Amino acid sequence: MKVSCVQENLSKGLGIVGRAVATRTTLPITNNVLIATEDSRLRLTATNLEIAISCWIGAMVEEEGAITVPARVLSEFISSLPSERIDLHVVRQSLELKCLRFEARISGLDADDFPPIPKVGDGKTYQIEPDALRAAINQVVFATASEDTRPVLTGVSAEFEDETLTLAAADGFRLAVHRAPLSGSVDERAEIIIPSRSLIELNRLLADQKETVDISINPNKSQVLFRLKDIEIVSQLLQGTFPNYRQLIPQSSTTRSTVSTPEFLRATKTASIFARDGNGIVRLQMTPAEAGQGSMNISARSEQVGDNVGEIDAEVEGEAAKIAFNGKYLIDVLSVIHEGQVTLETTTPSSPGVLRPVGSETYVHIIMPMFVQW
Amino acid sequence: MWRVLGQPKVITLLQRSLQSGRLAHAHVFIGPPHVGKLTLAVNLAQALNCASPDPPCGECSPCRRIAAGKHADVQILDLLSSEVKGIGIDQIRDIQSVASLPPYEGRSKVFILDNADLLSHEAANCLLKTLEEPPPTVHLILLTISRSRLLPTVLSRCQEVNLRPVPLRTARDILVRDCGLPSEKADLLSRLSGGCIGWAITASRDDGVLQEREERIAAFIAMSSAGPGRRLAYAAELAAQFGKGRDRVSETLSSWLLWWRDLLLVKAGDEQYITNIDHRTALRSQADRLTVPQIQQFIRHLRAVPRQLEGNVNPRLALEVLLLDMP
Repeated sequence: MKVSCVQENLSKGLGIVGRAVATRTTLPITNNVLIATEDSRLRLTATNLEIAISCWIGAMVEEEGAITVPARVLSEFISSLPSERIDLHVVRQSLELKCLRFEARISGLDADDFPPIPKVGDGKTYQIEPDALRAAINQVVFATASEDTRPVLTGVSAEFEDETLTLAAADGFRLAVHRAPLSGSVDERAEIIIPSRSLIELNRLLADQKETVDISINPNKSQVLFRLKDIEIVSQLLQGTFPNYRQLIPQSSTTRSTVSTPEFLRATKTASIFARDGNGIVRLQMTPAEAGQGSMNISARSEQVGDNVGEIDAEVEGEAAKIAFNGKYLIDVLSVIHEGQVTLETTTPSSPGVLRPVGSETYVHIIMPMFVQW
Repeated sequence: MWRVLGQPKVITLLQRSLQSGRLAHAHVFIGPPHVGKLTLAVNLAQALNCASPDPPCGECSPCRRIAAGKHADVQILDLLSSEVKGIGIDQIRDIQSVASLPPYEGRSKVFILDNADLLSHEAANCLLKTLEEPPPTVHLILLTISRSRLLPTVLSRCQEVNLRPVPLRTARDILVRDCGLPSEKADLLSRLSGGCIGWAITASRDDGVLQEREERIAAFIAMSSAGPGRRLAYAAELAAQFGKGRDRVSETLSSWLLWWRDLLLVKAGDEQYITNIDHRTALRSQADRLTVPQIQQFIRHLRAVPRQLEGNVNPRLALEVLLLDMP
């Protein structure tokens, strides 16, 4: 292989695929990045056997070929070079690099031994705008479970139906559901569970994407491919059935309180300072308007630290109500709602609370309450 | 092709269950070292991922990648090797999270845990859930020397497959037929291996193994007629070896035990069963000088020493007493 390319492109490409390089692994070659020529471009690929990221960069190809070299060494070396032309040359099992008066030789491993990157072809393909996908990922991915006791909950359920992509995540204490519009309608319904780590990586790469994203699922639903401009991400899919979350969303409520999102967030953060010692319990008390403005009272107390109370304006419909949540869950969800106002629907102190942004039908978030002595 | 030699029953068992699609999701292979447990486990992994109609073919790309340890879906964790020292609950959790994903390139994910008895209690308990009902594409294979070293809760969740040492004659035939050894060498190696073909094959390729044995036997013969001074020097030498690594001394003791077993056999007139067939004359002349009770007494002593060493008796003292006790 004999190729030359620009330092900037190579460094950027390595940054993109670098996130998929395995850290601790039983297969040492997955610590490497695969460099291969492909249609007069250079393809960089890394995989940790859960996610595989490939990235194509422009290059002058003099001689075709491929090699794998340790990803860390290569990317650290490339990023330390000046922004000039880099010549890459494979000599036997090592990669020779030349840039101005800098030279390096990195010993590598045979490209044939690199795990094959799954081909996701002849399955179903859907299209979505990058901004819609980012918004959806941002609003659900934090609600996935981190422990592996129930593997399906570490992923996000993605359902393609009609003209919408519904993403849902749950960890047993909360549930986030976001409906995003697809570009074009779907002829066949499909449901998959994507590991949250893959979505976090995808989200990062979506930041500077402007073109429509292709999502392809292979026929036996074991892999999903996200095709971005010059980047492809293939992720293994979690196997199993995602819990039927629709029946968890309460259909009715006795109290609806509408508050300003930033005020609610600030008051919750304040209360959380005092809730740290007390299992993170934040108490909410909603009082309907008898004369003038209704209010929401946000408080926390702990034996050692002390207590605090904050009050914000609220439009409360229905009965007065009180409920307690884990403050962290409230902060998580309020931080990703960008609408100015949010509605909290509650019934009893022991039934789940439902949060919906005002003026948007796309997002629902449910939090299980905590049982407290009032 | 199954590459495990001398275990036709086990292979038939696995092949039948593969063909009928009723392979257990978790196996434990039990057998002495070098009997072929790991080879069989790798073979089974190949069979599960093989692309040919008659698995495992050993020729197709998945088979070759698995044999070379490059397949993404076959993980071999040797709990004895220094890399994975202290396999704990974290590594088991890693396995579990990998197991929840579908196979990367093949049809089945196979996890092979060599020396599974070294799993910590926490790790073994953590593994139980996965052992009981792994995802349909996951197979677990535990390898161990003895079933009593595994937790009963682990054993009850796996299909047990016993790999027994091969009978002497079969072992010799295999070595002649499959490894192309001359019959004399095959005879000696099959006896020395105690029916564990893997050991015989290693020894046939590595002359060092046999040479080391030769040196040991030379020492045994020399010690039988040596005075107390030389015996004590030999004991000191062994004790020094023991300080560096326990394995070599336990090897020396076990080949010494075989030597004395031979002496007993020669004395009793059952010469065809002896192990060290290349040293008949030395055995006979030593046996002539001994009585049966003397031999039995020393064998008892020889068997006690490894236990003493394990119990942290001063190695030099234990070995000196042994050598002075030798008739």
